[in-house]
Amino acid sequence: MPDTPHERMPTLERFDRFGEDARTPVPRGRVTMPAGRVLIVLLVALLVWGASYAPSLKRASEAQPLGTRRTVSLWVLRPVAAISDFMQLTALTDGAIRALGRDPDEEPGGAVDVPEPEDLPTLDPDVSVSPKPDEPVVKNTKIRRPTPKDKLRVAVVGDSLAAGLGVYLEREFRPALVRLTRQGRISTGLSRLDYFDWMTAMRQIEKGFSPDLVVVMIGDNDNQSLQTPGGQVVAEIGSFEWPRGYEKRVEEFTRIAVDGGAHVAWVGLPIVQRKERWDVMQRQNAIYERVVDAAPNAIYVDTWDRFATRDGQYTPFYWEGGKAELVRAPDGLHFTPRGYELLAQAVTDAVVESFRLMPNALND
Amino acid sequence: MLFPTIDFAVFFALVFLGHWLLNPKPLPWKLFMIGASYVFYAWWDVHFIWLLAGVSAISQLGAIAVARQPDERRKRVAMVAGVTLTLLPLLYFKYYGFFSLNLTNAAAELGLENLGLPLVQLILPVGISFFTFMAISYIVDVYRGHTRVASWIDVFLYLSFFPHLVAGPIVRPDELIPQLDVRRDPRHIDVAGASWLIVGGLFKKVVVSSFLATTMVDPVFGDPASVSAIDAIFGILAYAIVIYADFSGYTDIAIGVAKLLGFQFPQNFDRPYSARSLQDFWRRWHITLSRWLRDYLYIPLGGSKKGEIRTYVNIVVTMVLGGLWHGAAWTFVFWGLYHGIGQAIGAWKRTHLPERTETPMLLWGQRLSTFALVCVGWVFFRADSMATAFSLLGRLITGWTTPTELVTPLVIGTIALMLALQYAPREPGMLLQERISRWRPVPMGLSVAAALFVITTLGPQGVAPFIYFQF
Repeated sequence: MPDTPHERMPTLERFDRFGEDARTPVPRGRVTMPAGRVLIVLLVALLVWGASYAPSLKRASEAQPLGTRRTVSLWVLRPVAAISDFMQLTALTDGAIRALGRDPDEEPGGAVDVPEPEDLPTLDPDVSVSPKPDEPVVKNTKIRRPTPKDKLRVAVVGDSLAAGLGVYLEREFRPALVRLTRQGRISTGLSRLDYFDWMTAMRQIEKGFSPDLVVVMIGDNDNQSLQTPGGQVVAEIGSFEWPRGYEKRVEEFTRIAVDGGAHVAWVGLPIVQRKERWDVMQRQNAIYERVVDAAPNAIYVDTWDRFATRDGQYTPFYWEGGKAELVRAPDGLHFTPRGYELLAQAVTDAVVESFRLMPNALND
Repeated sequence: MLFPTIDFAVFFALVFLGHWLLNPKPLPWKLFMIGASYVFYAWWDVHFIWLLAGVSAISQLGAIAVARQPDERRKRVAMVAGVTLTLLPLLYFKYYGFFSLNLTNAAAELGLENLGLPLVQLILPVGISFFTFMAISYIVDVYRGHTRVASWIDVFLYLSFFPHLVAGPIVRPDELIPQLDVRRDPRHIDVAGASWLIVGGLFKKVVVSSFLATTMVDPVFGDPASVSAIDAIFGILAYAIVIYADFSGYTDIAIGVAKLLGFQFPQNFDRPYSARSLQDFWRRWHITLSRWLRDYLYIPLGGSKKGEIRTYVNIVVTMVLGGLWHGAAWTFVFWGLYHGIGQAIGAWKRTHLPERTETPMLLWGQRLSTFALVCVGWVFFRADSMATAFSLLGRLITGWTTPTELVTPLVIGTIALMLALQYAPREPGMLLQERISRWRPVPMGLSVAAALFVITTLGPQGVAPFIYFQF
């Protein structure tokens, strides 16, 4: 006889009793617990752990974009964090974090880990620094010639796009002549300095690594109100103040880099799949280009058109010689490894052309 | 929703309460669990719950169609039709883009400029490979008479049950559906065993996997051409640990979570790096996938019943398709081919070479050589392209003059500890679980909180998604 849907197991009957097949096998000697007590175990574990980490969780929630999720999280976590502080649980957590050599008060975006340069920073006499107010801007001087003893120092900074770009940019340079530090931090930008303070981070990178070249790719997460490192909102997203406030931050960020003697390659935001973001992103790109144009030794690398179709639309593919390559990630924003390779090549091409980087600093 | 998140902790506390409160009433309980599982899935992307529901419906219709046919031939036709329809979403979402792109480029090589195939890039729905395979199991098992046609609600719950939904284990219908039809016993929960699995899984994922991935694996695979030979060796070893800690950690959490709800899931890992051959490795690594490939692919291809040569071909085909299951990329195809050829050679040796006398040297020689072979395979699995894989392997020969920068005592210690655990006796762990099981709820809760505290403190901020989510 064939099985038919009408020959199902007698569900209701079997539900009315317990048997061996109603529980998971338990090794001999182990004691089991009823569900009510297990719930106590779960709640005690969650509450005690939650209380000990409530201040960190609260800081992470405060760093989230404004919205219902953030509001609800904070509504729950603020009283728990207060209780945690009162019971000195926070001190215990902070002590454990300090014992591991980390800072419990660091921003939710994390701290910068700047590598020590292998050699002392040197500046070529013809490398310009920030111009005095009455001096014309010196554009695009030659970047210094690297040697195995005095490698060119390159810092790649920015958000997740910079993190990806850094990986493939490192492959472009010859390790014997170039030392590259990847400082891409996911979910960061110039809007939310309360989450990650890129101004301070850039100063640390300048001081600790003294880069000759800073490659910047940032801004994808910046469609948010501008906040200070202390969390104060200084310009709401969509307000008239926002573009000017954002431009000032881009200027400050660029100035920190060039004042330290670095050349800057600012990589613009690429075209993305979500059309509703195009307007804001193109305005951001216009800001980057304007600021970079006015700064010494800084170039703007366009990526919008490079990864768009001929009629200006988004495509995940890159066509060359009749062949297509998948260059964009499924999220419609990030790149595939091949996409990052092309992006890295665009940056090195621009650096070689504008800053006259010695071609032997690049891999064949 | 990811397991190691606050979102999941809160979600699970609520589901645990609802599950045991509704447990005596089958229909409300099943509806509640389906609802909870769909919320769990929708947390990632609400749009794809329709895909999950669609695959569930197709597999149930397929199973009903199979069961209603009067003869074997028609049953077989219905089964093939049901399996094909169930596979279509997976083929479309996972493989269409890969094949259309490669065909277009192959045609361009031959001078055919416009093949007319639309090139698309699709977001891969999380867990699609897992629930599709389970859906296929259901139809085929009904055809084979291994399981009966279940109710619609049972099939929807079987396929969506959140502990296994996004990254397995791949649970067979006869392992889970009967459990859904028996009221779970709320008086005997193995909370010590479940907590052990969950805490251990979180430790493997949040501490071990995250640490080695960021300190060794990402830098080594990110710029393989410039790493030293020592860094390359430890980068490869670290990835072997990362993928094991990540995936077995997820599975442990899934099995532990199911245990707390009174359900038993099959084991998915059994000390894979202590394997003595590639065949042995696949009996210990992702066990539920291995047996799926054996039962639903290798055996239907003819298995070992159609002659020696055909056996080897079947092994290679099965492993290549198994590789492709992990992702639509040539690196995965090569990884599958590598394991397939390796297993075929092993099968040939077992058939044609005399069995050697077992000695400790032979045993350890087999274990080490198998581990080395598996590690070389992992290079292709992890690399973003074949060029990257060969570049990294090349550094094992050319990178001896480059200074070693990444390997630290902590990296070596972590890798050594994780490998040593593959050989550690199980008894101390079992004894500890037995002791913990005698504790009262509050001390036990405090000990779990302490373990979570250690994991959170040692782990990095934020946790990357599990590697197997992408499959």
